[in-house]
Amino acid sequence: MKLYKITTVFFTVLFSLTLLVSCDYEDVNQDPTRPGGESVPLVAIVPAMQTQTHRNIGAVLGRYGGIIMQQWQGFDAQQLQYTSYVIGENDTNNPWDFGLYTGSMRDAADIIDRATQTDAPNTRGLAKIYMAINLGIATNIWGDVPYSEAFLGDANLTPKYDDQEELYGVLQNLLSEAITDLQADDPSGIQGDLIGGSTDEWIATAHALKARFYIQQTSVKSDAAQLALAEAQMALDSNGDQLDFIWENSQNGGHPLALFGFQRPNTMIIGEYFADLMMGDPRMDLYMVPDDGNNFLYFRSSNPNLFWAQLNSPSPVISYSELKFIEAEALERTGGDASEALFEAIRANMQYLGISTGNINAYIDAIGDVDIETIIVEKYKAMYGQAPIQVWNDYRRTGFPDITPNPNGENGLNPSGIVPRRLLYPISERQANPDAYQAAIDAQGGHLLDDDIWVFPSN
Amino acid sequence: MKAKFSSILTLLLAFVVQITLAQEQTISGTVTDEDGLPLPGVNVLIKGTSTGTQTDFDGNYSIEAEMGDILSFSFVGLETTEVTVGSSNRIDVTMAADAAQLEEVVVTALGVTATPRSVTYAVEGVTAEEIENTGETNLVNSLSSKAAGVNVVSSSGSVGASSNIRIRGNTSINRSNSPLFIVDGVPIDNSSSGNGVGSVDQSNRAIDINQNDIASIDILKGTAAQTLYGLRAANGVVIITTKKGQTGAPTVSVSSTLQFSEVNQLPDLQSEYAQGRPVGGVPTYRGPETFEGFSWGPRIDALEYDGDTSYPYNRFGRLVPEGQGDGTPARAFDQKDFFVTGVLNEQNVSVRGGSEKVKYYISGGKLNQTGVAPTEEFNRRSFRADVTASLREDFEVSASGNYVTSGGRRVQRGSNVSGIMLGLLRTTPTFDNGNGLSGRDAADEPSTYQLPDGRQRSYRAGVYDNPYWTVAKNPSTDDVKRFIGRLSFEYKPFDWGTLKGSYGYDQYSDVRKQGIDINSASNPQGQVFDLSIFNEDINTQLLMLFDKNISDNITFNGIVGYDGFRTETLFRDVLGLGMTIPGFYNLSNTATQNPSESLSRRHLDAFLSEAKFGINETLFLNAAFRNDWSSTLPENDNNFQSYSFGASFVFSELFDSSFMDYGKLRGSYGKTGNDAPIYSTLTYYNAATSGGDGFIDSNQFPIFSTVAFERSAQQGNPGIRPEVTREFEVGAEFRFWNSRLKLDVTYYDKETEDQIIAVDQPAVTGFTSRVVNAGVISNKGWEALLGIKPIDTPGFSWDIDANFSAYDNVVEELAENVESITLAGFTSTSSRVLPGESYGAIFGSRYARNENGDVLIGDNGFPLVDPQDGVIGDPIPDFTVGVRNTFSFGNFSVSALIDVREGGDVWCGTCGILDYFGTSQTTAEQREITDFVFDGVNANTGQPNTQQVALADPAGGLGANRWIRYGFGGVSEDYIYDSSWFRLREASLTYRLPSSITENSFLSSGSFTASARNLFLVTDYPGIDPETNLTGSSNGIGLDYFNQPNTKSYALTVKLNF
Repeated sequence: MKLYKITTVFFTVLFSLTLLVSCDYEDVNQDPTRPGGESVPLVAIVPAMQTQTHRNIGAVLGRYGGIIMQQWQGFDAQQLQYTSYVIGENDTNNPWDFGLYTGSMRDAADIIDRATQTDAPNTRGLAKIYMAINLGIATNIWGDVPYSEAFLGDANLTPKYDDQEELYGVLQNLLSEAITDLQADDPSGIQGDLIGGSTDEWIATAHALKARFYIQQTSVKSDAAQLALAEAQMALDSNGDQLDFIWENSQNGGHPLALFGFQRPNTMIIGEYFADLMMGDPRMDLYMVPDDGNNFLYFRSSNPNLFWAQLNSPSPVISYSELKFIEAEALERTGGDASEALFEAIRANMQYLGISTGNINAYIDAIGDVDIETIIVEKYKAMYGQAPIQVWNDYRRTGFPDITPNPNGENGLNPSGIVPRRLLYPISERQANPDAYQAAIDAQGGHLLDDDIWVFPSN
Repeated sequence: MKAKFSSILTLLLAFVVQITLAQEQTISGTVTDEDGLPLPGVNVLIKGTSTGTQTDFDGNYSIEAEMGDILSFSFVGLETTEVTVGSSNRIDVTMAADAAQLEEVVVTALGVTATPRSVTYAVEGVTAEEIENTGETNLVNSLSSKAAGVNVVSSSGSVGASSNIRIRGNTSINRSNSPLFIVDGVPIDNSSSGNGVGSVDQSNRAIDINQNDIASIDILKGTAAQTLYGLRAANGVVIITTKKGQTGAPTVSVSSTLQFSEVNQLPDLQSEYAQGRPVGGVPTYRGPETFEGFSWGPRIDALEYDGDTSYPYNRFGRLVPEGQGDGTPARAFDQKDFFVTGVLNEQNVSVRGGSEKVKYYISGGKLNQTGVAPTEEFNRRSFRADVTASLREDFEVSASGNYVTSGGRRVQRGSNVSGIMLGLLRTTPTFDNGNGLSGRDAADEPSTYQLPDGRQRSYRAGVYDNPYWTVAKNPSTDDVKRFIGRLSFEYKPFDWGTLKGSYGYDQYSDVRKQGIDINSASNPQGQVFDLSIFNEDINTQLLMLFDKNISDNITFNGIVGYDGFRTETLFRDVLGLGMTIPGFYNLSNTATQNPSESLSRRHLDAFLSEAKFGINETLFLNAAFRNDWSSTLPENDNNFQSYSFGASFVFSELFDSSFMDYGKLRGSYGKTGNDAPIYSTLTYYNAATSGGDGFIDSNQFPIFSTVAFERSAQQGNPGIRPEVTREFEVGAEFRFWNSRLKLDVTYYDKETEDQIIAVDQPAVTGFTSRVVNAGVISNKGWEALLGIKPIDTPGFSWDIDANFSAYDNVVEELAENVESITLAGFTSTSSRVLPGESYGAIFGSRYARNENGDVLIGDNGFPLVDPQDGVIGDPIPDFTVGVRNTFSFGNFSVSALIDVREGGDVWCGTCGILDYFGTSQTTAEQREITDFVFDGVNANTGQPNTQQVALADPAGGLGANRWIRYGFGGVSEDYIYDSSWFRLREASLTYRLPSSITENSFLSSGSFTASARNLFLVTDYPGIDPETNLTGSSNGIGLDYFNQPNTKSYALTVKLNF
């Protein structure tokens, strides 16, 4: 009967194994490797918002700005096609989706909500500044963009595009609210700030950004220069007040321009126009090195002098130099004397880059009459590497510097062949938010590269 | 107990004595079929007694019998043969097909065998022979062209590469559309991970199955067949039955295969124009030191070498215009000599045998394969033991264990600046990657790909990797250790009822390492990526089977049971960036490390049941029902039902026909459900990533010694419902003239609705996707099998077996505001699902057209590109046909499998890039054309275009070039090609050792086979062999972007049994 017993045991074991199973799954379907929203503190989200924002400034959108403005040019592959204005609906998808709206702007909106719930006004103020910077980039590039109905998840799956004029009001409001929030008493202070700025420094930066957004409206708002000037006076006083996001000297934490140099070697080089313009400039060696042929490179892995092409290069939130250029332009436009502000702008930039005082003075002494063109061309030189989108903005509202469009720049995306005035809305919007997308295109009369956006009319 | 034992012993002894007294002799022999093939499992019985045995795997038997006894040989489907024992102690028997009976058995759901006449849906069997001589390492590839409705596309000819298998097309957008693989009743994992657009080809895990262990394969195609397997079988089931032990003396089989492979097709490259680009309107040579990527330079015959042998990029010196050098004319190099002959070496040994009560099968296999690229390698070692023991008359237990190690060294491919094909095909004709060497010699000699200062020697100084550099300095290894075990029992307390239980355990670890050495194109600072995957699947099953005749003409079969599944997969990886010591691929040698971990787990439980009635062996009716509970569905609504019913009607029973032996109509209808992707009911936070730029790597937190998290881009949905697939199929089977002609035709119509898909959501909502129930996908198709035996004589026979499949696989609708979902690909060209289009439709840039479909041409004479991308290709073939011809004459048999595919678009992304860089043959033939008129109408006037243009006028610079002006890779529409092919997929010649040789040796049988696969291929596709898929076994199809080429191979196999 031994056999029978073995089978009984075996049978019992197997059967009980089967019965151990139950249909109550409890937490089987909860991912143990990722936290849920409730356990994530503000201090953990702020670094994400900041890093993505500074990446947006210097990565693909910055490269489009710099290529269109001929600070850079493609040497082969995609960058070459962008140089002849083949920038389509696919080329804007990634920065729109993951850089801005489901990137830094998502994080900023999330922080604003959470900081409101947990009563953390200083941190909310920081998030509003960052929201303004990113929304500013979005509207500079695409004109009308979603904001008032955005970030609501499936509560609103088809956010409308807000009129750009309204968005410029939103930008000023965000920054004004940010200033109020930063002035509020908050025992926890600004949480998670990778830059480590004080509330006063952030308030000054908020004013500088307000000045930037006002000066962008010179073509469409008569008191733009006046308003910019007033804000500039409440903003930064020196390079020492400037808040810089410093990238890490590692591939994982590196500056996007250096990463591009490493990871897409020799596909983008210094633009011919810019190289010619910078001949003899004391900043030239800090911006570019000659290659074996007739070209200049913005990146060389072994060259530590290239200021904007190091893994740990900085990314200013807004530079003191830019603020002084804005002030100079505002003065010039309001009948004041712009030269002191302009010289301070150039000096600030050169000092920041480490140019000797003698060279700075010699350079400034050589500047003749100051007019809008001088200011914008000097700004074009100074903003290299740190604010390529601002350089494109300035061109679109002033026409300076007076670059020549690429002779092969006429294509289906840019039928008139001019220097692009905007970028196309991404294909993701065409396919996932089609009605709002079409309404925005209709409202603006098109979205091809040669269609104007409201704030930068071409005439 | 002791007393009992001794009494048994006494009885046995008495029995032995009796045998001896009865003058018995040992009769032995071989039982073969009409083709001379040995028949295993034939029952040999001494008529009128209960003494009997079975033939072994090689058809051999031996039995004690007396002179005058009648031996009865019986086997299902064959005519029972009786032989009287005479003086000879050897009796060889040839058994003929039983025309009246014809009833081989087929394996149906849950491993239940049934007579074909009772099956109400399509089942197709593939024999061990059909997969043994294929020369394929991957079981999935071996199924190619063997069965109707089964479509196999290998991702490439890389050794160990994954293959995409689909049964009756794709049903789901997000889930894997691969069928369920079941070995001896236990589902096993056939997942693959890591097959993106770049990096290396990874395996699908069915590659771990040693094909030599397989006895047969049955393929269940339709929903009705799958009801009993539940949701994991929504895409069909591949049921694998392994070889088992059998009563009798042990038989040992050994086999050995040696195979050679080579590349079967490559794109045409030009050899007339040098590296360079127009400078100042003149094509100008620009050498590797300028990082020049283009081959739009001067004619090679207008250049010569300067003779400076110290020049590191070329042993003959720099290229200079004719007359300025040493007079040695410049030459073009053949880039294709990179490829080598791959060698496969496989050894298998197995032992099978057993007593009446215990039967065993033990096997070991060892495979080593090198690829067509130097350093590429795949290895597999497999050990398997399978034991069955009858503990009592009514109780049997069995266990099997299979231990496999597999893996090897893979090579970089695809969209990846370290990819072999990318670097190789873009290389300008004036640069010699091997620097005078080729193949493995070049890969073994660092001076071919490395400059003395450690930098890379490549045609553009390290922007793309020299192919020899990448195979030498970008190693990617994987090491899989897998155990598949099964414990099961079968208890038959009643003659009408059997209780079966099984516990299956499938566990593997896959340890991968990918090193990118310093100065490599994809990361000049070097990087190390370590990934470990741990997977565990547990399947539990308890079934009660009923088999009872209700009356004399009504049979009943029933099943009730429980089916449980637990799976857990853990991924742990670390990316280390910035190496210091070259060639030392260890995380300790990296400056920063980024870890990541993910764990996916899923539990399923199900109750299942089936009832089947047979009436007069003529009409069969069945119904099945299953209820599944899944952990991935919302807690309050986590179960769903599947059911099916069907009927088969053997109408040939109703009349006697002189030519029709068998005729059957069948039809079935089924509905199955499917659960949700794991963790899709909640919204999570992820370790923060700063991305948004496809050209550079993301910044992955932790960075700055800081932790950061951000909300996932996918919004959770607590309201997901199970998805539903409904399928209807009808079929007919006929056999004529003693089965000389067989035909089986099936039509099916399948629709999956309430698809659970991660749909794109506008990013402006703060999320880019959410999981919803939406969308309908339909599959309609025809399948046909045809078997013809034109010649059937004892000495010579000819068999033709053909299968035909045609289907439409259409996305009927998607969710509101969801116009497309990307399955795989690039921003410029991708494989997508779009409403009203074929599944996997190729989507990309295209020319602007007017209402008449005329291309719009700009005033400059060049076509305009539509600012909006659209559908440009349909990757679903119109039909596929597989035809096997088998000839047997004497001890020889010859077999050839022809594979025809008609239609099915493939995007040759490679071709677009080669045109762009000027290395394609097309650009050599057309670049000097100056009077080309594009077909179309002027966009402004609407008049037919007459503007003549120069295709590559150097005066206009690169921007004016026809192949460059539309951007990198051109307009996608230009590179969509019909992939129709005609190929000889397999051919083999087998010689069986005649009994005259085996009789006088220790051998019981043996054979020699010479075989070839992909011996020839006829296709208009201009790239590599169009049987290719960039993203492996993923759902994306029809993409070719610097995929590794496919191969053809020749093999010799020896099999010996003793």
